[in-house]
Amino acid sequence: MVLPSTEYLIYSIAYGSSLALLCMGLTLTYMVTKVPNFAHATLAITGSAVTLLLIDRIYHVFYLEGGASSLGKTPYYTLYLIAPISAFLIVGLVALIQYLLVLRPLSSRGVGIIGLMIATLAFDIILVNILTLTLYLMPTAYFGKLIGPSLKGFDASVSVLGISTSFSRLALPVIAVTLAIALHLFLTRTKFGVSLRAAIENPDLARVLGINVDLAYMTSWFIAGGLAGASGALYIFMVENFKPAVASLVIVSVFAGSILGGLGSIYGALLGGFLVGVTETFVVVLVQNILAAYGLPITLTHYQRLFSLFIVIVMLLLAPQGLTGLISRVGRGGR
Amino acid sequence: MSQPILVAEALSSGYGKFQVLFDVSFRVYENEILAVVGPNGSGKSTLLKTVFGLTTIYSGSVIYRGRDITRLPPYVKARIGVAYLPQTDNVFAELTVKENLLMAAYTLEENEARDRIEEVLNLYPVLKERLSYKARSLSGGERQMLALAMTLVRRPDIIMLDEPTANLAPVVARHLLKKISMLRDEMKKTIVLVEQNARAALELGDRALLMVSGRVSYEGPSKSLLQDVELGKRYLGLR
Repeated sequence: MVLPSTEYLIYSIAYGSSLALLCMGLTLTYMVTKVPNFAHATLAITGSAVTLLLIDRIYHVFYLEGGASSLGKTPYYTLYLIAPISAFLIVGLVALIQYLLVLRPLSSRGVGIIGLMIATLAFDIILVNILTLTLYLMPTAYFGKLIGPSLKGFDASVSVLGISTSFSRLALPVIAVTLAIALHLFLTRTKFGVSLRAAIENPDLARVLGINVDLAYMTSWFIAGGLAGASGALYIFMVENFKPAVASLVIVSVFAGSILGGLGSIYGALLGGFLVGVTETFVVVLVQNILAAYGLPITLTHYQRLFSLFIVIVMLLLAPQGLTGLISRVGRGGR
Repeated sequence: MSQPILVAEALSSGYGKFQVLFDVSFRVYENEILAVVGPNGSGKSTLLKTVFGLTTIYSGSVIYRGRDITRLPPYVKARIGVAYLPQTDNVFAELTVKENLLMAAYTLEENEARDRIEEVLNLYPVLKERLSYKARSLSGGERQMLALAMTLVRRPDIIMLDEPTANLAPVVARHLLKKISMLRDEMKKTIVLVEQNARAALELGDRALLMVSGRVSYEGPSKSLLQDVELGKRYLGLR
């Protein structure tokens, strides 16, 4: 069979949704600070770590201290809501700290884009190490014995229309769509949201009109971090072997999605991230199956990020403005 | 003649260490149009930016209604009634006309903002038909009208306009200049107008300021400058 299974398609959509959230956040911070944040994928991993710590505490309290008999597995189901919300708030704060302690002071001293990019790399390395140390030090004796390095065992199984899948795979697209709609409404229907767009587009004019540009920038960074956190909070349920250093691979896909989206529109980023996610999973397996059917058994899934890099190269060569630019060009009748 | 609303005394300013204005003094009187003219690079736009606080001021002062506002940040000047309309990037291109007007009324209470937006929309009915359009889709003239409307929402006493007719078709430019004269005649605003089209500016203005190489070469009635063959020929390309 050439087509990947429906279950794999669901996984692919979940992965694409997760990347879409990350790309939206990266694009938002890029529009504000004009610097690609190399620590953005690590912000998502911080969200994953929040879920890990939550499960650790819940397991500790309810299962090892005698609460399990009355509660059954209920606490784990609530995680699908608690984890993304907690991760949104905590990681939003981490991103805000990155902006306030690293990028804003350097920017105000006139540091150029290269210097700022290296600063985000430095922040990334520090954050990865803090996360690795935290996970190493936390009381995870239960993890080693009972669930291993993955949270897959804690994900609930569900069956929809006869297709069996895990709950997190269904929750991720729902949460991604909900957050995207919420962000759209915030940016277009609230006075503060509109002022945020104004401050991003023309900070000088915004200042003249009495808009607090600094507050707008801080809010953007908080939202971007929050989106990354929410994405990572659920994505961890799909990962086999969780390590904070995986962020260095994920960031490639995030950049690919953001560039595909055009780096100037969060809606473009949403689409770009989703398409890159689906390409890296569903399309890769599809191509792999087709090649196998023609007697070429190559394991392409090991090279899934090459597909992202290919997309980046093609987009930069043919349509540097990304999908957003392409769509608006088509809208203007190709002028 | 009425009292001056704004007085600039011996202003020297520039961008960082690059000095553009040298010892510039002038006055703006209530309910007049002061036309600022001069050759390219004479410091006309820098003059407006300096008054609004967007350049480095080395010395001198700006007094507005008796208050020293030389070092006040631009947003404070905007709040006390001084408006500055830059030549370019004076609207948010990616925001709709309605959103642009809302941003212009950002610091106002909701009801007050709504009333004032309604008021300026009545002045510029063409904008009323384009409320949901993004500003980038407007024509050059409509954009300048939006920028002017955004300025008026804040009900400033003095409006400084930096080449509002630049890049506009002659017929649109004439229409816009007519709107500017209406601001003085009907809304009793005070206008400082920097304009490349010297003849049009001097015909519209009550008084004029001729800038040459960062210095004031003439301050007085517009009509006199318009009739001064020597100055007009040498600096303004008038015959």
